[in-house]
Amino acid sequence: MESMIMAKQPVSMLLVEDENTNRELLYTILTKKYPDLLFQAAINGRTGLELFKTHQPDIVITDVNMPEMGGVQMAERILAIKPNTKFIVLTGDCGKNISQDSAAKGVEIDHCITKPVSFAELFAAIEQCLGEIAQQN
Amino acid sequence: MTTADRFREDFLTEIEDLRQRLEESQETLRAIGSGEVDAFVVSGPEGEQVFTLTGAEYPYRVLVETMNEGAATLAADGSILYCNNRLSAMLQVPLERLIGTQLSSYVTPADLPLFEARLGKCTEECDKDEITMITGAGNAVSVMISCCAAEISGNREIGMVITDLTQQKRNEETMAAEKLARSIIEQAGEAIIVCDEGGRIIRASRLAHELCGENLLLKPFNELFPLRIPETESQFSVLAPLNDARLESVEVEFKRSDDQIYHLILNAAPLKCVQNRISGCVVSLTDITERKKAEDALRQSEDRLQAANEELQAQSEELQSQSEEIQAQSEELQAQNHELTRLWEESKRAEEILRASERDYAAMFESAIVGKAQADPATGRFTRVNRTLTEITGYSAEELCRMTFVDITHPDDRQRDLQGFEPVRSGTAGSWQIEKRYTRKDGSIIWVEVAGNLLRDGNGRPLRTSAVIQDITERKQAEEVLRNLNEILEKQVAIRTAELSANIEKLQVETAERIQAVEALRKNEQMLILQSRQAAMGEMIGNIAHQWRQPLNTLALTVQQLPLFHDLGELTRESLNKSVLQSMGLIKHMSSTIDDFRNFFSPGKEKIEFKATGSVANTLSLVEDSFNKQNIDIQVIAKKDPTIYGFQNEYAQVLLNILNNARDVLTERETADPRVTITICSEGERSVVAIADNAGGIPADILDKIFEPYFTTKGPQAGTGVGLFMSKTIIEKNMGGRLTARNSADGAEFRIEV
Repeated sequence: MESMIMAKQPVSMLLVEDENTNRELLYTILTKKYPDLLFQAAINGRTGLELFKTHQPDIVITDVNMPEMGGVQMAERILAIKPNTKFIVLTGDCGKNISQDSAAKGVEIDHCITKPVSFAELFAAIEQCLGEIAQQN
Repeated sequence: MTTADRFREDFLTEIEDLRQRLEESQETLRAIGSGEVDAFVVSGPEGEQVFTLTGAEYPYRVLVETMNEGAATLAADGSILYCNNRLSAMLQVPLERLIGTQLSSYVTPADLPLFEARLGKCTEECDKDEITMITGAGNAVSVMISCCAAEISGNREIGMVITDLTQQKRNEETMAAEKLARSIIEQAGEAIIVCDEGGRIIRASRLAHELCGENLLLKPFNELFPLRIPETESQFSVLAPLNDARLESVEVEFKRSDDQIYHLILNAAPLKCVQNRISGCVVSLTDITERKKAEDALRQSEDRLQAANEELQAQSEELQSQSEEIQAQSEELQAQNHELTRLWEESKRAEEILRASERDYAAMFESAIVGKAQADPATGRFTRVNRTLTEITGYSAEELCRMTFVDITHPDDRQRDLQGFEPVRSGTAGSWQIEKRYTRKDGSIIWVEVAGNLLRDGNGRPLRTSAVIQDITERKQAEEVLRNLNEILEKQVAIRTAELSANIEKLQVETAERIQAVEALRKNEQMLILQSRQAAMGEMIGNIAHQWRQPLNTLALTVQQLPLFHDLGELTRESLNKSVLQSMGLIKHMSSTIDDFRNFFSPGKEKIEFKATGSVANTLSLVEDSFNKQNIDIQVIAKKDPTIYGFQNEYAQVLLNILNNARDVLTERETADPRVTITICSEGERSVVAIADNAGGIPADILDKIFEPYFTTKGPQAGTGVGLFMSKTIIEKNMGGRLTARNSADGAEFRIEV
């Protein structure tokens, strides 16, 4: 498997989701699917930003509408710290709203996945991110 | 005093006396010499003698002598000192015999006191009096005396002027006689006309003027008075009396210029002057028209009486003959005979009654104040008319009796008149009545009402008609006025009616327009309601989407992890049960969410009682997710829990609306620590729910517009502009409450009172 090939420096991933059930489910599934990756999870944007500062994860999977700090706002702050961070956004409406909002703030969103989330879609996005990170290394 | 002394004194007196008389004599001589004395009287054995003197006053003397008045100077005792020839002539006494006599002796005894009084007063005043004097020949002379006292040659004398009034008197008498004659002519009960020898009228009495109807004077008599003498069928000419013929009590007919006929009695005689020459004539005319009419009427009535009498006579004779016949036929019928005799007597009495009634009828007929006429039904010719009818028609009775009733009927009314009369003429009807017009003799048109009866003979055949004719011109005129008034009134009513119907039409049009406007308004309102409902629906769908998004996502994740776990070999019965349980929980949650929304949207058609806190809680459960997402803090302060009576769902819709607005504005303005405070309390019997935010309030310039339809502060995608309008309608119109908005210290506050 590809993850096994690039094992010398594990890729780290941050999951930000305010809905507990969803976060727990995603966390369980992703750790099962990608056992070699390092995972952190946060309940909102602010916690996510703090965790990012500590662990500098390569990939951030985040919800958009969250109390205290939304996903786009958090992405803006993270990209200021580490511009090549990969973002996978999970949202109810993946259309113009998100891209306009993020474009206005100079935020480049790599992948946007519409809720309810399809695993195939999510895994494809993660695989793509992992591929890009491997090329950069 | 001695005797000698007395003599001496006597002598001195005598001397003085003598000296005075000498002076008098000298003065007299001087006066005579200077012409101051006209005459003097010398007393002699034959009595006093007057000697008149010629002197310086000769011209005055001539004047006195030649003037046409008698003049005299009288001594104080009234004797004539001097007089002129005119007085002598006036008194028919020679001058010489007049001088020295008493003038009073020529005054009539009746006037003597006045004469004496006048003389006595002449010293005080000069005045005149009219008296009568007797001449020497014994004639009475009416004179005017005027006397004045004067001091002449030291003697008091009286100057007198006597004017002969005889001629003047005669003139006056002539004038009086003339006046008398004139007044006699004027007051005479007949027309008196005086013509000159040429037959021209030179004098005419007032009656003559009236008779002729125009000014007669200086016009030829024969032209003005064409007089026909019916007796001789000839024409009277004024030349007859002018040729010394006398006419007395000649009946003539005078046809005046207006065709009116008068019956007159004529007297005519020549006028002769002193030389017995014919200088003119006098014609007198007495109007006997009325009398003539009366006579005619009387004659007619007599004729009729005669006829009736004869008829009765014949009847009675017949009866008599019958009676005799019966008597001759049978003695047994004696009783019947008696009866017949009695009948006969009765008929006699009836005859008497008939006579009397005919007299009464004639009197009544003539004196009636309405016109009466009898006519021959076959020809319509009048056979008898009364005076009133002649006044109504202007035709005389004679004229009318030569005419038919059709003749005097107005041409336009004739056909109608004849139609109405036809049944009477033919005898099928007994009476008729008509209102029609007469053309009077003078051409004027009057309205009359004719009501008549048909009189039949013994065989029932039409004999004659008897009609009453009333002048109803005034009534007709009044009717005309009334009709005109009615027409005017009808026209006005028609105009008014037209105006009213026009108004009604206008009103109908206006009403239709109003109905249309109301209809349009209602449609508009319905559209608003629809839009509001759609907007609310949209809000709700948004809320449902939001409410479902998370559980759907969770469900998706749960379902998808099952094959993953299976592949990893970690799918146990336990983990499977857990996933199914979790999924069912999510499905139930979503199902209840749908129920909530469905209940919220089902229109509550009936008013019910519900708790304010319950309604607030239910509404909040629908929106709290979205509020939580925006970190908007919702605080509910329930001071009381009032009961509201009304449409629960609609009330909740209003709450939802206001809450959504608050959420939107808080999000839009990115208010720090956004907060919504809901306060529930009651004021009196009213429930109050106040929803306040801390978004800074409503701009003052739109505060009074927010409840207007289609007013929105949101963008085209976000707001329809009907939310608050519908909210106000629900609270105020449907539930009789109040919905108001105001700005508090840090935001807007909406207050719902029901």
